[in-house]
Amino acid sequence: MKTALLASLAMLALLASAQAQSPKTPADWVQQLGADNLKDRDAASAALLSLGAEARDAVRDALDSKDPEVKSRAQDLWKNLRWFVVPGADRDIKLLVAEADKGNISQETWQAFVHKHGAESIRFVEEIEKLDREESALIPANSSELHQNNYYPGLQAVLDAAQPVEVARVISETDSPKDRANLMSLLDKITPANAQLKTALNWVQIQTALWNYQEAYDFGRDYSLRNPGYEMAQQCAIAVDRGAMFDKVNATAKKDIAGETDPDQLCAKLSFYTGLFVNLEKKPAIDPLYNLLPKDATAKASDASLRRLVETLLSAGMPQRAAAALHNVQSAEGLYMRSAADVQLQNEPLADADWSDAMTQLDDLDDSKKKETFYSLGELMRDWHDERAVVMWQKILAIDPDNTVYDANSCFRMGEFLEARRDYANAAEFYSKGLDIASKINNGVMVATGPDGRSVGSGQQAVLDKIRELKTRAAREKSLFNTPTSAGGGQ
Amino acid sequence: MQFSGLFALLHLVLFIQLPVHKATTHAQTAPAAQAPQQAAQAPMQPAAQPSPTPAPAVAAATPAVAAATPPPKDNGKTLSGIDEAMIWVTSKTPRIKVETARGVSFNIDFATHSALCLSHISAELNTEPRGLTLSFNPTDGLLRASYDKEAKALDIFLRSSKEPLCTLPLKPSTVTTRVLLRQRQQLALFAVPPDGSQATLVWLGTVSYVLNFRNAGQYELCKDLKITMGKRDIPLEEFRSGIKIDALDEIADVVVTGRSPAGEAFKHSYTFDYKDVTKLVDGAYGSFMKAAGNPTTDDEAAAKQPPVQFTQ
Repeated sequence: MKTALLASLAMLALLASAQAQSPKTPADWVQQLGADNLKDRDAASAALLSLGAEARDAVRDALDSKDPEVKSRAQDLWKNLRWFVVPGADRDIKLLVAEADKGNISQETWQAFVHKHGAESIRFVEEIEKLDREESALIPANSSELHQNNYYPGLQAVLDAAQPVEVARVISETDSPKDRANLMSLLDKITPANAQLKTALNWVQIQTALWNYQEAYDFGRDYSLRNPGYEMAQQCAIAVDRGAMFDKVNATAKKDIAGETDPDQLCAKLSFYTGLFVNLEKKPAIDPLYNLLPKDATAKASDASLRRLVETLLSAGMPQRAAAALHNVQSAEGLYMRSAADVQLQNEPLADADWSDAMTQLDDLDDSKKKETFYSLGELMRDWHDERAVVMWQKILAIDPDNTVYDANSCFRMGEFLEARRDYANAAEFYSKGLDIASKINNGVMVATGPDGRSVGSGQQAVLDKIRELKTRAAREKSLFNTPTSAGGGQ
Repeated sequence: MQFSGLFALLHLVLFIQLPVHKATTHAQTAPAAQAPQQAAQAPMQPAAQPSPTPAPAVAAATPAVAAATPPPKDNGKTLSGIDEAMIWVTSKTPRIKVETARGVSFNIDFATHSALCLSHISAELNTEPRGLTLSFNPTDGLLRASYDKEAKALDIFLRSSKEPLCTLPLKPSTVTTRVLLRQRQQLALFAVPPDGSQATLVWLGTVSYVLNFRNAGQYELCKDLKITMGKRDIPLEEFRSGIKIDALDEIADVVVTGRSPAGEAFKHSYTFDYKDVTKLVDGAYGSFMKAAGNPTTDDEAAAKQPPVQFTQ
């Protein structure tokens, strides 16, 4: 009995000792913020600050403490700890906050942060936006607090660089309904009017992953009516399909088309709904839309609007509709597009006649307008993979004066064309000539863009790099061609 | 008799022409060493169409298949499985993909591909009750086939029986006629010479099937997911990559329950009608054979017209 009692006492002593040695939790440190001793209070503040993200929730809870000392210290700590919302990113967040204190966080910094920390980065963006929303009135203009518009490039970076489904997962797995609503309203800061294509596509994908099909579709439709391109129609089709919204969308489309009087908007709508229904494999629903149109409904549409519509129709295998939309065009571009539709209809004589008319139209233009019109048509032909575009660029270069922006660009296009044909030496010459012309044009800006259409840095440097690369290739080809081989040297 | 009470139903494939828009081979994506030249000889490769017309926009897009459906109820909806799922006919070591416009596609090995290309007529042998595999294996299988010149029909027998289980009308041709008999996962290719003297088993193979739900991705963020096909539990990963079944008679309604990304309970039912499924697959086999160069236009044409002679 005595032995058992001694053993129990020994166990209790060990337990007490272990408890005394165990590290303090954030809640313990928060409690210590209200200690009698100043040294203890300062130690608690320092400890909580060093804990970073781990102490965030405990400090947030202490913001409403009834102990004025605890509340005051918690508020001080919160200015730093509130940002630590991304798991494992405390150190990078400190750097971002420091950069924000100096001014704005650059787009590049945001992108690097999002690349490293992924979709969770949206929580940090949301925290910045929250500060703007809740406290901007309290921040003096000269404050070193995060500047209010820092969140937007961050939001763009998240939408551009993070996987949409992962962003959706972060939102979906946020337990607090209020925090989830905040994240959702953060997404609403992106609108169809201010979004770039990738941002818009990812926005729609996020909403689709969250089963917000109507929101996804509405955004995608609005974006599509402002911007040409077929990708958004594909995304919208997924939302419509998963949301079983086809009947509703079809009914709305009919009203939308029947009520549209602006020919350019009409082309945009027809193009969108055609692309949407093709992606939904609901092609039979397309014809009834066109049957609603009064005669010559698209007659006054601009070439750009018609081009958008015709591209969609030709891609959908509906050349008859394309030809009908173009039946009374007069411009060279319009005639060219109709000739393309004629080719798809296998009506070669009509295609030749339209092409010929287009050329006659161009030749009849004033010299002052020729270059611009040739270039515009050349760009269309290039986009449609028609090699006859070369003729346009050659015509531009043959017309005086030879120092316009069209000449410079025609040289670059010729360079591109010749490079594809492995004529590297001549391609390099055209690039050099283009660069030479461009450098003499006042107020000119040379822009180099990547495959996604975004700027990839200095245009001049890009052209110089290209010339160097082409010359190297040309030299290599020449040396290969001139090197006699042992087997074939004598032949 | 061990199999008394069973009877086999035979029905012919109707050669419903499904437009085939794409034929790809693994060789196109696999390393060169794994890509023998035959891979490029998929029979349904669409002819290249030289065209100066522009090739922009939607045509290059991945097609989203049409929505199925009754209007959704609040948290539950019933969808036609045949509209929502693509059925893949697959071999164990697939090398050639042949995608049809909708419904059924093939991902098969060279041998199966060749057998399908050589076939002039295809027929499926169904058993009742379903789920019984009757082997055509000549050494120990239960089924055999024999051509009856008098009746102008291909008879299928239980091995020891003298009375045919079923009969496939097949008029003699001026060239060898090849008949592909399908029984659950088995494919048995028989050759009947012009004189109708015999029906020789020339190839025996197996395929399995994969049901790919095109909207499986929508459940990515759902919680408490439970997916079943009939009584079988389907892990989410299998649902995402495609539900594997040995034979079409294993297809049953698929039910997905859980909570949506917003936390609301839901139930999605994908219903399958076995007859519709088999009709669709029959049509796909027929379409495959026809696209491979088989001149038959309907189920009896092989017997009425001389089929093209293929060299093995």
